[in-house]
Amino acid sequence: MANETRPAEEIQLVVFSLGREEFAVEVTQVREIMRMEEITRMPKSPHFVEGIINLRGQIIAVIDLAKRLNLEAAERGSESRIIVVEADDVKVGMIVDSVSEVLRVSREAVEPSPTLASDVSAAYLQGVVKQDNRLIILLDLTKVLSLDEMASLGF
Amino acid sequence: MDISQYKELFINEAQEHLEALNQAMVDLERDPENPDVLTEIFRSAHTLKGMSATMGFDQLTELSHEMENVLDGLRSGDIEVNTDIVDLLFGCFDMLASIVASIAEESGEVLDTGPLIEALRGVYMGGRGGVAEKAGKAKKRGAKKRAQEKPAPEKPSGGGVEEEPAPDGVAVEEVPAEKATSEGEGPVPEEPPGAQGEEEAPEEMAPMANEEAGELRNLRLRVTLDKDCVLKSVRVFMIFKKLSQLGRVVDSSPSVEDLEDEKFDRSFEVLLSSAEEAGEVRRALMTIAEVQEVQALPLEGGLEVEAESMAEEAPEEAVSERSRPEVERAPVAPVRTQSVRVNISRLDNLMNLIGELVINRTRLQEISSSYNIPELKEALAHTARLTADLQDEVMKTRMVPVEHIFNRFPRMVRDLAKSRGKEVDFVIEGRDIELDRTILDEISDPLMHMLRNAVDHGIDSPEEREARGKPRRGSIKLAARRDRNYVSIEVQDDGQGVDAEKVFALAVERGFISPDEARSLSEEDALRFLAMPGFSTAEEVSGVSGRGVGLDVVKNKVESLGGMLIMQSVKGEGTTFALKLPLTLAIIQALLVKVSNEIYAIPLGVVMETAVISSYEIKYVSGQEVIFLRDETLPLVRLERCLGLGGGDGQGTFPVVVVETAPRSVAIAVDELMGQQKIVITSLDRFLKGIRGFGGATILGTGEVALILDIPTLLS
Repeated sequence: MANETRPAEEIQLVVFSLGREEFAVEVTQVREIMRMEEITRMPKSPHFVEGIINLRGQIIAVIDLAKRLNLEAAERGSESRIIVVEADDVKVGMIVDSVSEVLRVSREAVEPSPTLASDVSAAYLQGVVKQDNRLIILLDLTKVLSLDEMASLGF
Repeated sequence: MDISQYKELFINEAQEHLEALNQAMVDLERDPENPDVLTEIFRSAHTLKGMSATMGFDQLTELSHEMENVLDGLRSGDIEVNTDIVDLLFGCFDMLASIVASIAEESGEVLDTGPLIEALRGVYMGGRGGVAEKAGKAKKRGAKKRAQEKPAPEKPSGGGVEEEPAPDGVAVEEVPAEKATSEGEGPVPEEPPGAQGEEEAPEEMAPMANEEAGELRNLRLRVTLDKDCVLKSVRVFMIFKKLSQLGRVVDSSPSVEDLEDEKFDRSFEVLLSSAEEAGEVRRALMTIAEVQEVQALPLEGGLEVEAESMAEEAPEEAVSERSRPEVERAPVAPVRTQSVRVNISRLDNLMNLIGELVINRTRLQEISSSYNIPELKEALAHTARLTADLQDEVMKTRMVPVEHIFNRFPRMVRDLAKSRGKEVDFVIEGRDIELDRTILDEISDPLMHMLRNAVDHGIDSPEEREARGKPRRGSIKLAARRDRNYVSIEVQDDGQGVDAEKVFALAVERGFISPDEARSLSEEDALRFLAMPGFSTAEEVSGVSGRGVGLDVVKNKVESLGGMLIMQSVKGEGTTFALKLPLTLAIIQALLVKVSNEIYAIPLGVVMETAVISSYEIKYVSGQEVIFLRDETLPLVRLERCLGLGGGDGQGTFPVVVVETAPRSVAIAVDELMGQQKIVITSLDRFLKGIRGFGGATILGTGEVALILDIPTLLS
């Protein structure tokens, strides 16, 4: 992947919007981006688990990312997407308001201190990227999908 | 012995022979000069005839007899292989299959074999020097008629049979063509009675030992079966039936009971009291298929005494005697048939029980985790290992080679290509790869579908192909290969491939995507559209790709088996569809129920009964809803509430599922019963494992996901 002409530290981010903010995950963790589809409810699961879907023969959980991050999400519409990500051998679909682009940034552009004002708890953040006038929040998927975290939520 | 008990075996075997015939005929059409293929066809047809005759199915016998005459003509070169004859023979195979099917179903349907028999007679009469050139069947042939050949008489020596080439025809390859035809009778030790057409072969029999003139004599015979004989008990039955027509069976070694239980290797001895001569008896027995040799033995000493030792010696002797002239077989200890035929439903039952056992084991482990008893844990760990091993072994018994279903495809592809005016080379790879029987049965239709698509839409007409600079004949490959814990089955064609642009255009037209989105999609996405329900139908996209026909059905089927459909296409070069399938399945029988518009599966193992109750039947015992069913008070659990889905105040009448749980049974109220079916358990991943009450999930035939309820944990 590291092309000779580019700095080796370059990373690619899948940028998506959720509520009023822009978020990103590293493209290496993204398996697929899907349109919304029928989701089978998963009873007795935490409030942010939307349900389960059949991803080409594999059954995976889908979470409502806005609920997971305690954000207000836009209405589900034709722009809504499920981003299937994989972290720590767990494959999960995350519902987002819309997916905008794949962005190339150098790793240095990711500022590690997530102290900036965001509605999202710092625990889920890996860093922020400032690009032109945008502020893109890079999620720490390991934390977002953390099972310990879920266990402490009471199941 | 009752013949009806052999009917099922007969049908199985007849179907196998028909499959082999179809397969070999496709090969023959491709390679008409190959004597091995013809020998193979002849052998199968002959065996079929013999079997049918023994079982008394006259229609089958008659048709296969006429067919054999034509085959004999083909083998001798009197009749030339051409498309008409191949079609005619295929027609016969289909008719035979229909007759076998009607026997199987006991439908009593009488099929008209007249026209086929007429046509067959027309062909072989014509072939044999135009004795009676039948009207419509006058064929241009004879140009290549090999002059000096005629059906060779059997070698008039008793040893002739032993020297015949083995059924696999090792010797046939080495002898020149004409000789092969005369000696290629190998698998059919004598000129079969039916095959004697115009020219009667001399019916000379080997003079056997012990021929005395007289009324009744005792004959001691050793009967040896073919090494590939699969249904030895049937052969034994046939042999004894034949013997009882010829005389009285005084004794046998091993005993009749043991013989019927297949407790022998390949040969056994009988003592027959008969008025017939040994040669006559031998001849009669040799007409039974898969009887390799019948030897008359000297009558020395008491049979009683000798029978004992014979039981052990006979098989070994028979093998080593026979193996000497053949380089291939070393004189080693006899290879015993170590297999039995088991009805698939038994294996299914076994598998269901193990499925339940595994679920129960999980339940036990859960219970044990709440009581900290080391001994219990240890015992359970051991049980877990054992059940896992048991499951493994049972899974293995269910594995069958893919050729079980692959073998019927060459014929199908050939017929289809012919009817579509296309030229197709069909190649099969990996016939011996094994797959779970259930998976194999389930993918048979999808594969047929994909092959049909490949012929219909993948491969262009010969003219179009030539215009594009490709060889006239298209190629379709069906390949199975093992890939760690998966088996991948691919259908590959070298046709036009899928035109992504056209697919996107159609997707926009159908409102699946906006034109903007279409631009951002990859070729891979285009293929995914094809497998979307309702994306396309045959006539609407003919000329575009046509690949969408039923692909959604294929995809759902594969996914419900725990596998996946992978598609690849290069425009102008061809398309590959691969089914990635698990080797084995975890299948259980389940009752599907609906609540709050979601489907849930309840393992049938815990279900005792179902009933419909009215809300006025509900009583209250210390605040808990209960119902009375057959003098029993059952707590009523509303599934919606139990799952926290809200609602669950169902009034009026509704179904309940009575499930068995400790300490007592419970009636579970649902909105609707959807019926019972086999489902494949897909375990939930780590992310969802912590949620209690579910034993996994399953993908239904519609592609929908249904959760499998783990009733005990759900109710605890």
